[in-house]
Amino acid sequence: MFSNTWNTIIEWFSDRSHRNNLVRGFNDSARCAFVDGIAPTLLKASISKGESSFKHQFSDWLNTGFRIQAFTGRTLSKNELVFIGQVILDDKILVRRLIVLGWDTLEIHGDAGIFGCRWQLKDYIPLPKFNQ
Amino acid sequence: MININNSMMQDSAKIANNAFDQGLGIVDTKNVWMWLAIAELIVIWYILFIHPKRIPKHNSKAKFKKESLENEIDFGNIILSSFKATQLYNELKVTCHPDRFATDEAKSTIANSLFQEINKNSTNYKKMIELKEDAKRTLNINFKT
Repeated sequence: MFSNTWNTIIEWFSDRSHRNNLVRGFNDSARCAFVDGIAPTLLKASISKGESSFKHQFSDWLNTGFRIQAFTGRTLSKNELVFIGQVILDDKILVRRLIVLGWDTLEIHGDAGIFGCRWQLKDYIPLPKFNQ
Repeated sequence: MININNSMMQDSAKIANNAFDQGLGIVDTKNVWMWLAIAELIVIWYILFIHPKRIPKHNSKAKFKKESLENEIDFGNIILSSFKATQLYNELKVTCHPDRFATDEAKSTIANSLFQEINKNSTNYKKMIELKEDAKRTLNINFKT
């Protein structure tokens, strides 16, 4: 019992670290692309509350949303926001990483207005049934 | 009245205290805390370095998680694809369409497979650039720069 609790604690801290690294990696790339003029809009990733009905077996108990918000620069249209979501969902490696690190919701938001899109991550990667 | 000598009284009190402590067997507490700290260090060292790490409760779940964390993610490609993939896809789907090579059977076959790959990777900018290079080489297409 003690070893399981200890492993759970270590795993929790490890997951926090991986999550922060992933968000930081995305934000660094987005910032470089915006500064170099490749991207017309600055995208910023953050962790949000998520949607509780999208839970899966790896879901964290709190803050299960991976939010990408378009900040300064050109305002993005709804189609562009949806396309950004599609690009992320088509990257199987990224989606798997998001799922195992506890995220279950992908959200894309614009800077202005109330446009926002939301996807259930487990629809895009079939999760095998694990033996209990 | 007895004139009490303060220094004598103090010395007497000290001697009495020492005798009292020895009688009760009171141990010097500094050493106890030092040994306790050493024992804690040994326990922490054991847990960190010797204790069998990561006995997963669900082996297949842990394996799935480990495999998912191994691969590198190309964030640069994701950002590029978000803003440039549509334009490149629109260009490639026109220039590499199999109908453009209907007269040449060999090129038509190559164009067909390339076109399918382009459609499959319509959101992957890096992959589409590779396919564009393939198209230049195999189909002799000159793309507008």
